[in-house]
Amino acid sequence: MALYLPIAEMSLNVFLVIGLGAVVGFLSGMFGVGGGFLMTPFLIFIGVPPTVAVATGANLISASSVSGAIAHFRRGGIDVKMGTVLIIGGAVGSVVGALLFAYLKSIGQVDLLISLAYVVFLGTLGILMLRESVAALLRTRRGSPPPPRRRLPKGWLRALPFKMRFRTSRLYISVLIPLGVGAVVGVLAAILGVGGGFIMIPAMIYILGMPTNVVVGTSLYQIIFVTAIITVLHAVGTQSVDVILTLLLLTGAVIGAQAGARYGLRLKAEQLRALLSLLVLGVCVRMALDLALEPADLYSIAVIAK
Amino acid sequence: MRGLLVIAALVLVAGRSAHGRELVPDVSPGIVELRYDFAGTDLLLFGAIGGENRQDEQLDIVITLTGPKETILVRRKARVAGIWVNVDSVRVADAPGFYALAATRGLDAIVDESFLQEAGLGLAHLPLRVLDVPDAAERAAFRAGLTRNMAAVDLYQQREGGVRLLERRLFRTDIRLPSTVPAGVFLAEIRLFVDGRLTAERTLDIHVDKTGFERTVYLLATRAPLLYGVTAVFIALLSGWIAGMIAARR
Repeated sequence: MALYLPIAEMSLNVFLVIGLGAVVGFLSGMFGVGGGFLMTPFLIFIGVPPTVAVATGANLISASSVSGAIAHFRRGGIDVKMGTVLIIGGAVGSVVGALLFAYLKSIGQVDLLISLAYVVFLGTLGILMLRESVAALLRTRRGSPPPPRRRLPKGWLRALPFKMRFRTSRLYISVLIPLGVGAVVGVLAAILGVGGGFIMIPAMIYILGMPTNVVVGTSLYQIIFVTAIITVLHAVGTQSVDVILTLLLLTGAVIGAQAGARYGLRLKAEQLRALLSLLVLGVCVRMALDLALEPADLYSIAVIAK
Repeated sequence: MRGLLVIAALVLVAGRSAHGRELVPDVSPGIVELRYDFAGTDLLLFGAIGGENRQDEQLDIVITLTGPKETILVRRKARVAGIWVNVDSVRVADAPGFYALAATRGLDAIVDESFLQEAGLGLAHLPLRVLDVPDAAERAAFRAGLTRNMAAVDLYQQREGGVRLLERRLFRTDIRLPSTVPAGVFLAEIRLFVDGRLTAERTLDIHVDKTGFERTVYLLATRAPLLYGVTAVFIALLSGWIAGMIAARR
């Protein structure tokens, strides 16, 4: 059954779209990740224009983060003050990202930006995760204890002005640090159509020094607002948010996520991370090949006025 | 349809032109609605040729269907530092968003090249305006790039031999509108050639519109993008919340 998408201006098979939502939902449920960094490339692979894939991806992440954020809020797992500072930084970053996005779209380079950003982002992420998980797998095989947790040196970060107290996280740090972290993640989220939890959570632990029990909830809390801002910015800047596509993908994702979470319990954390890193690298290679191989037609077209 | 054709034929016999030939074309459907389940559709263009019918004459029908005019940016990739990047771009004005030509035979067999050129008939002669390029060879390359890309997604079609003539009186052809067809007023032009001479010509309008929910979504997204963006966020949050509750209950 084909469905006409009014913003993507194309027909896609409903079951393909719901199925894609389910696959990404399954993977995100199994690996415990947001899945935006898989959804956007997969949408591009099935022929959705990259701009629509990114903008709709942001819209979808708002939807799929709500119930998790509510659950964490009830448990007291959100540092609202820290999250709000991150959102302010994220808003600034996403404006920068969306402006860059709209400008590059106008000069015909936005698809290149999206592909290159994904190749760099997924490549780095995949290699780091693969190294870490293989090391962990080897350690468990040898039976040696895990190495002590490494904390990044924070010398110059501690010297920054405008200190603020975050009671829930038991921190007294310069407000510039979470603003900066939020802004960087905001830029990436706007360009990649991801929530950015993948960068945000390590940044919260290693740069901000937040306790782990509020990290996931606070990350979800700020993701909802930042992706909401990005959705509006892309809707205004490039008119590329397809809300019908969002709803279809969400339907599949909800079903898939439950199955994935159940299946993920059967595997060890290190095995999961190794599998995920291979998947991430696979998507990265596919994107890189699209850039490196000579396209079937060197000419491409875009309607600029009707 | 047959009844209609009979009436058409009778009307034609009564009101014959100086050339002794008349065309009565029709199209079905006359209005195409781009709804949520639109996966492309076939347009049937058909009609009758009226007037005297001499067996020694060669009859040919050429039908074109032209969509709304667009300005299209054509980009060309080149290899930069190992990857393929858009480096040149050219604007092409007056490019139809859809163009289909169907004819009883090969165009070059029906009528001579100079006529095709003058009438802008056929993919090779579409009256496109390639802007900003002084060099003729470059203009032709970008023009070919555009028609090739449009043809790859069936937005440009040329089917010589796609029109069937029945008893030298009736003609018909199917034109496939793909799911990506743009909305707007389409012009169908039906031309009758007798022994290579343009003898009769008729036009029809076909309306292709986004309707219902899709139209609302599209109009909101393009005319009130801020409201659309805020609505999209609201819908996403609400449905994400509901989906979460349903998932938790099971």
